[in-house]
Amino acid sequence: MSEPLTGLYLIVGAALFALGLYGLIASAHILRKIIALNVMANGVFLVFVATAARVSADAPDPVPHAMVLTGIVVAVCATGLALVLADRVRATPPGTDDGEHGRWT
Amino acid sequence: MDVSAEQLIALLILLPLLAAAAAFLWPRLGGGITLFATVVLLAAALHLAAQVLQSGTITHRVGGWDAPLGIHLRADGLAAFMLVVFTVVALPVSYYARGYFSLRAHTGASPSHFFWPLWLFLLASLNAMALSADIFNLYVTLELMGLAAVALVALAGDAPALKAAMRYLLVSLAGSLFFLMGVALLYAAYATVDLTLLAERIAPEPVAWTALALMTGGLMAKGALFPLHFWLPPAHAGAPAPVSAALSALVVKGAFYILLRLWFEAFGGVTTALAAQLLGVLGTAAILWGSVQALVQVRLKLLIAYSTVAQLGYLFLLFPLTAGAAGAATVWTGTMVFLLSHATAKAAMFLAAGNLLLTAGHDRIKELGGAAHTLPVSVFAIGLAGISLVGLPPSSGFIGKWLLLGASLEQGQWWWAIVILAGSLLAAAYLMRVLIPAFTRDPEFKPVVHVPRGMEWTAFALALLSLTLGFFATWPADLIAVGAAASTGAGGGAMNAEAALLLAILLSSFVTGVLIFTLPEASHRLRTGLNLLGAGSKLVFVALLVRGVYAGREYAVSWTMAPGVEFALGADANSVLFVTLSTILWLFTTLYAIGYLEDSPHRSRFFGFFSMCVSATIGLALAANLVTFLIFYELLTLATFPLVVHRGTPATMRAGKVYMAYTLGGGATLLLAVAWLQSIAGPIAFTEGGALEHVVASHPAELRLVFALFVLGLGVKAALVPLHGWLPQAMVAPAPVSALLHAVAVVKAGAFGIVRLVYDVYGAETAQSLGVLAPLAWLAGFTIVYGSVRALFQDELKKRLAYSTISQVSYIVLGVAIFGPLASIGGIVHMVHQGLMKSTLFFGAGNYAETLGIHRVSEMNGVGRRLPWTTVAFTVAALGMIGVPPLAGYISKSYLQQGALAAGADWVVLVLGASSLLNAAYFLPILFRAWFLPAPRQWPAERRFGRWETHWMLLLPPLFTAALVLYAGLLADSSFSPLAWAKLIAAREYGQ
Repeated sequence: MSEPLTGLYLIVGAALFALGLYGLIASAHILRKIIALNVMANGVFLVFVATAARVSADAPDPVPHAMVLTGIVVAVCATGLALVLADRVRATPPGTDDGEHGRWT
Repeated sequence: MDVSAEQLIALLILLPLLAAAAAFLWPRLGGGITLFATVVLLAAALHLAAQVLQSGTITHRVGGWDAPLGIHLRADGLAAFMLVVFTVVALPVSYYARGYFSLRAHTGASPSHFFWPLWLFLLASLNAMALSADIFNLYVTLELMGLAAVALVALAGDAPALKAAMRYLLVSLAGSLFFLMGVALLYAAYATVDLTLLAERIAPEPVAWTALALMTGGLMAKGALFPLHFWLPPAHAGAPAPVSAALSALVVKGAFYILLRLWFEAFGGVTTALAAQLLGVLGTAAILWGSVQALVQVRLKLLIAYSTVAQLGYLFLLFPLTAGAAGAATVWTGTMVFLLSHATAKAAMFLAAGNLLLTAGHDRIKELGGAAHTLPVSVFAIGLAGISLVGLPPSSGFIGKWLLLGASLEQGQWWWAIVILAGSLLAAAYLMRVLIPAFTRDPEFKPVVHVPRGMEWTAFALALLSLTLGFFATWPADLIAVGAAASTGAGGGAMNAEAALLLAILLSSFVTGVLIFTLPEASHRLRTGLNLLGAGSKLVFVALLVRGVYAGREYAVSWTMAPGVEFALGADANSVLFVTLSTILWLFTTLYAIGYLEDSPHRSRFFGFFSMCVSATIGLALAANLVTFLIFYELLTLATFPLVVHRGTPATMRAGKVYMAYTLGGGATLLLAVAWLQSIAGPIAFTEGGALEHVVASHPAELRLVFALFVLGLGVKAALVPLHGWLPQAMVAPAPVSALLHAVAVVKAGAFGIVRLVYDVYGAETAQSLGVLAPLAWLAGFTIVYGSVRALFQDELKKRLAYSTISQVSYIVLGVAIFGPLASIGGIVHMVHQGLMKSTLFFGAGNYAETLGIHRVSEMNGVGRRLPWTTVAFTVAALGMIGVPPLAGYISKSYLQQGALAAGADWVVLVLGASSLLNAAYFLPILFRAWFLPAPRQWPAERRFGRWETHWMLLLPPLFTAALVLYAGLLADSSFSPLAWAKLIAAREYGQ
């Protein structure tokens, strides 16, 4: 892998991260927010993967790969929890809200 | 059993994980498993801390693998400290949670069996976080902590809680991703995630700065630093009490801990002063915004949650204050003590709030009166925790803030000092809102459930821990120094017979108070017995002390509370005078109060605080340095407030608020003055002739300003005009309290403080050379005349006496402010004389009110014939106040007069003359009415007490004190009189 290509991965990773952040803040729907978080996460993972090429193109550094794998596991768990929570929020009657909880953002 | 340190490290992470699995598999045993695990964890954390202290940083390579592939776990001082904080809070919270969830099960609320595994999981992630030595591991633990915390918040299961959990989850995940992005950038640039290696390789360049910004931002969201705190209050609002406690006390601290690791370890050479200042500014915003929000909350849990937002701000002052190398160790210690203090106090407060919520079925602050009366221990816990949160001495919160305050002044970053003080005052304001319902009644209240005693005492124990840790704040300093550059020394005082006597004097009333609090309302005889035993034994101890000091023995005891903060008691001539006065008057006032409050409600509470109040006064008298004086000065405020509002009516609550506003403001000013002075001159012990010679020449202007601050702070209690506004209002308190406030404790404390300030801090010579005495004398002179004039126009007897106090106490200040031994003698001796005379007058006023229902001067016609002995005592004291020879007041005034002439301050003679005339003008008409005008046919509300004119317990005290007024005047020249002692003090001060 050549140097410019690594740079491209880095830039795309950062762009995904920024895009996801924008989605997280700007979207009103909870499902969109969860997806936006996953986009952010993928941005970070891309940066990690690009980093692996830093040592040499033939024998990539294994450490970032290990970290990305861990990151993916964490992201899957978190997404699962978020989806379950979102579902519970939807299914639960509003109840007495003292007006202290406000809106999503 | 001998356990190696590496095994301890593994245990701290593995045990909660295994216990979580077990608690998940056997939900019925969850509580027991958790309790067992947290006990073991606490023992392990303490053991590890001891080992770290002994043998330095301990590293454990998981599975024997080395970096970069292996994972390192590392226990240095900071990590060990955090582990202790986590586990110390975890144990009581677990114990509380057992009771909490079994109660909730009765009311049909959500089941608890998910709580235990999640809570253990949270503990595992926190412990692992503390021990992690690389940033990727930190990320993993951070994420685990977040997921467990979110699930805990969602436990309540209702819509608001689920929404709050959802919002928390989104913030938490986003924060973690920011952090992870930082990790990726750092690895890309420096090919390592190890904290130590990063610190070696990192360079000040854009990639490092970007990573730092990303990671700090993510952690700010997780740590709820303003403006990213918005998720925290809703998450607390619906969560079960143990979860709120865990969240506020521990989870947010976890994020802060990682921030410390980054800023001071990995990014050590990269951070900039500007960024540090920015974090300080955000911390300031958090303090102000959180406090203001807490002030307007309607619900108790939200108030406490916003208080967390505010208190977290203090932690972030660490960053700007460690920017300079000088004093960084102090700042670290201060922050860590504060962190521990907040963790324990806030957990205590949430647990106690949980008790109130369970009992009342809601947590609307204004309607908690009934629940508060059902749960006095929980309310007391909130009060104690509040002391620590406000940062009042001697709590650990005080030590933390005190060290930060001192450091900020020492480094010239005084703006942080203002922030710290403002935050404290705001905290006092919002915590007052919580305590007010405790003094209002709701007779129709029916508790929803009965909270077991154990849950109440858990909250209490945590609060007490937070309070008393202030005395043992040296170990955090020692611990965090392991593996860091800073090191501090510490030591405690040795115990001997002299020290034991001082402590016995202090504790004889303190222990009495504690015992009385625990007595049931009905055990009247036992309470009376305890009261008299306490007062009597104190009198014996003081007699021993007087004899010892007379024989030239040295009395001192000291204890290092934290590096540079010494708790020191001693007995010099000044202390002995004040101690003796307080002890004698306490005995009489107690006797009087027992008779006065016969058959009224809440006597255990009253006499408990009464004893606390005297303990604080005695501590004030025995304080041997400024910090100790400050501690007792604030304690006095706290102990008197419940006495002022004792009756619980709206009028007394109003007066109580005014009293608190004045005295806490004064306390904060005094705190600032002490901190400032010590930043100039180092720790200051009271020294005859002054302790500032070494800095007078170099800092004259600052010393003048500090003197003014001192007078402002002390002047509130001494009721110097224009700081006197609280005193006439506080007259709503019961008569014995008025006697106590005016003659023994509060006002006297202010005056005594000014005596200490001029003689033993600045020294009369130094104060004179700085030119600060003359303005003080003018202020005192004005107060004397003003108080007398106002007294003239009061028809309410107690108000007239109150204004008379304002005037008379300034005699003391005047005597001190006029340079020269004669005036000093007059001022000092008046401290005793005024106390004797004013307590006699208040006892008399109380007798008129209790026996005949008379509250106004205009109603006093002919009382002399109905209450002859009371009126005789009253007359002696009133004539003494006017200055009729040969009574006590005459002695004071004549020395003041001679002293003023000797010092060339002729205007003082005019002031004294005018005041005597005015005294006569407002006292003589009372005496005339009492003795010479005919009595009305019927008194407003007469009570009969058989043979005596009034209850014998109400009659004896004024007779005794009046006799002492005579004694002090007639036998002034004997070798054992207040005058003789005052001469001794003045002679030592002026070196004659």
